[in-house]
Amino acid sequence: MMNILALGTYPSRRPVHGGQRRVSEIKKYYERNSIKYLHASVYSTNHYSSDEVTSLDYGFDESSIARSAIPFVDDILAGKFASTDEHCYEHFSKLISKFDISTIQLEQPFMYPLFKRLVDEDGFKGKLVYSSHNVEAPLKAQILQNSGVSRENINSVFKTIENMEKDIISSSDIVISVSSADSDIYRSWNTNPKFLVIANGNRINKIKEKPKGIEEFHGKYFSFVGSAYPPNVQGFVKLVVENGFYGFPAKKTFAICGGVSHGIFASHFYAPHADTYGDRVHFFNNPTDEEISYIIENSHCILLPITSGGGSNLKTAEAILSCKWVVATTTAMRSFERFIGQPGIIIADTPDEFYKAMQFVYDQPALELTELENSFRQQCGWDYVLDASGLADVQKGLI
Amino acid sequence: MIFFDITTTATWHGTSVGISRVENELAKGLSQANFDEFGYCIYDLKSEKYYKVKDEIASRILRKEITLTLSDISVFAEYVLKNNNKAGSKLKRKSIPARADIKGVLENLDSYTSIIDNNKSWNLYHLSDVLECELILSPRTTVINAGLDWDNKNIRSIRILKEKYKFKYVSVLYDLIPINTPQYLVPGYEQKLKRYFGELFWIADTLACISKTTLKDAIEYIKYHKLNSPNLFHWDLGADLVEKNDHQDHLPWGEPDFPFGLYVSTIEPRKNHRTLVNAFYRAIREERVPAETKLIFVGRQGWCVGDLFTEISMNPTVRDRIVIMSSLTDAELDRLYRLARFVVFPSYYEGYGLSLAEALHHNKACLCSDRGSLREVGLDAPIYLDPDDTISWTDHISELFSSDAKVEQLEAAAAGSKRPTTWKHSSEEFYTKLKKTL
Repeated sequence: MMNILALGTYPSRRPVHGGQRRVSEIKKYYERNSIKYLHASVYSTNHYSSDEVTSLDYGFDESSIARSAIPFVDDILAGKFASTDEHCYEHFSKLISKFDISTIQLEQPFMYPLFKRLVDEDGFKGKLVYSSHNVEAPLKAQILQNSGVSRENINSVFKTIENMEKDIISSSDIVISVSSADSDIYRSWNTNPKFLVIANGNRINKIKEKPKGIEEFHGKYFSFVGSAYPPNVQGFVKLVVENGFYGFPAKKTFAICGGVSHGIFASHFYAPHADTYGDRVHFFNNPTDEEISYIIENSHCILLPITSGGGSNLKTAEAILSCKWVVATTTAMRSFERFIGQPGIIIADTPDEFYKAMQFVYDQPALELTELENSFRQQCGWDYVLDASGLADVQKGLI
Repeated sequence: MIFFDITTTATWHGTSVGISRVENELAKGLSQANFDEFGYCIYDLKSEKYYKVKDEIASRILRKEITLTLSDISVFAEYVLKNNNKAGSKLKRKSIPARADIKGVLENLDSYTSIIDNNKSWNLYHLSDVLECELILSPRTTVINAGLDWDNKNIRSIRILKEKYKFKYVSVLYDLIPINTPQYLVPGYEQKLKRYFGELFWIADTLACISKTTLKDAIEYIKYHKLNSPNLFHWDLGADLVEKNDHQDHLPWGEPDFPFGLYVSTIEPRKNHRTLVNAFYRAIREERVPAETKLIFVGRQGWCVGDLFTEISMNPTVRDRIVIMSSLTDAELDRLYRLARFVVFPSYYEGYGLSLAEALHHNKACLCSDRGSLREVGLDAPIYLDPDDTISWTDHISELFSSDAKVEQLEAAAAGSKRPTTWKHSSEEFYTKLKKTL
């Protein structure tokens, strides 16, 4: 049996955010294909509690490692820690021998320093699979720029990550990307590995009963689900809030879910209208999975006002799978391009286009799809995406 | 029963201009409009309700004999106590709460509001002497609103009141500048006004637009947002400042002894005083205007023009050639119009352009921007110029200061054009059109 050790910077025992969900689905896929996939991370004990990790994960106290003056580089620091802290290194070194690991799969690039030391010092001779979640350097640079970090520091971080990814690509046997665009970038660096594109997918959980205490919407409503990740806030504010909600009646018509809520509520374009918009918008700032599923399932339309960021969006997969109306940007449809033009999916890239699309959809009845259209949309399901990828066969072919 | 909300007029200090003038003139016209039942009301932001004003008080407000201070009773209380006048003693005895809201005050017979007479004396009145009762709203009630409603009203609360009582809401729509050209607003005001207009289009049964241009903008807004359209009409504003018999034959501070071009407007970026200053500066430098000529700007200093004021005061070529005045009475302004050699209006956008109408009413030669509603108001009388074309403004200002024949030609055009209407006629047209929508 083939044994893969996956290395990352967050645990995946309880998948919540997109990266965790992707890792969790990859694990299920490998297991369906008789490949053992062990996911081990170096995680911050400040962020994850003991019931969110397994014995394979290695926790560190952020205060115990060198602090960086630059924000949002915990992942780089975690990788550095894994390769320089002797106890931590020993933990991973033992995992290699204990589980007879034949392949290391890097989930994102940040644990590459650990892989390198395992090769250099332990003589690890197995295969390397790079499982990319984004082309990381430009994404990180964008986050730092929006946080007011100096150009000099941004350039430094950018170079560090880009060099790391370039080294990984040149050392990898297989490179998995989430979009063709990302894959093209990696291929431009080195054409030796086998390249696979596996977009993100999703699962729809049918909720039979309305979760207790959840706000009831009377009539059609739009929904938007997003984390506090700044581009989520910026995209929604730019494409939806700036044009305002006054084209919609003074009744609850928008459900905004997740950590994105705070940033939207506090934005310059929302706060002065908090009372009048509050008649039209309801925030679910900390919804359970069950509540999100219920909200999505009963939505008239799902909004994907995503204007930046790389990779492919799990929320896009969720929206497509829901078989509801979808208003999305071209950026949101990255790696889901084949769904553009499908009934009920409207592309809108400017505030005006987005506003007009929402108004159009609001006047439409609930979306009805044919069986064929419906089944086409099901291609966004995780099982379909992964089973169609051929990854397991490529893995087995390496041995 | 039809009510006219006179909150802006009731609380406006000084000469009525712009919106406060329109509200005042239309409210005055209500009594001549042959409604079976009518009255006046004010809106209180604290209790978020309309109150009926006693008829006698309303008449005095509309004649601008008195101004109410309803918003902060405690300030007035402090004033009278400090001055130890009779009212103050009475106040002290009655122990008015420091910050009584109007609802509480109305329920309490020991309650007062201040009234300022136009001769600046203060008087203290029982609120029950000023206000009759809370306005009873029902489907039979119509409320006309023509004031500074974004400041004086909570438009959301009015929506909720309207949903509850189903009364009819009529509003005067001056322009959609906050939606279409928000860059000209007081910084920080754009969201406040967006909120106001956003709700207004949901609650208004009738929107009375002050020009065809504003009507067109309203239709476009409704179309863009796919809203149900309220009743819409436009009518012409009046332009007469004073009754014929009230013309003033001199200015109290002395008559200008120089030829001058006049611009009457708040000094703010949209009004584009900048082009005038640059054009006049160029005309002086090129010695194309006689040495004694000046420009007079009448209007208070608004927002985002601090640099312009500084520049004028520091520029040795223009600082003595540009005169800035404010707080003129109607009679004084009327006199200035009559004395002006010509009138200018270089604004980037107007929902109407009251000053242009007033200038034409005075048969004045006018140089005017070609934007917004100004062509609609001026018709063929003025010379229209691109407000950004400084050289063209220089040429025409120079010509009007130098050529009597050209000034006379434009005065004749103003006299021969469809003269802007009087406020009496404006008011009649407003109510005639309004009745068709009720």
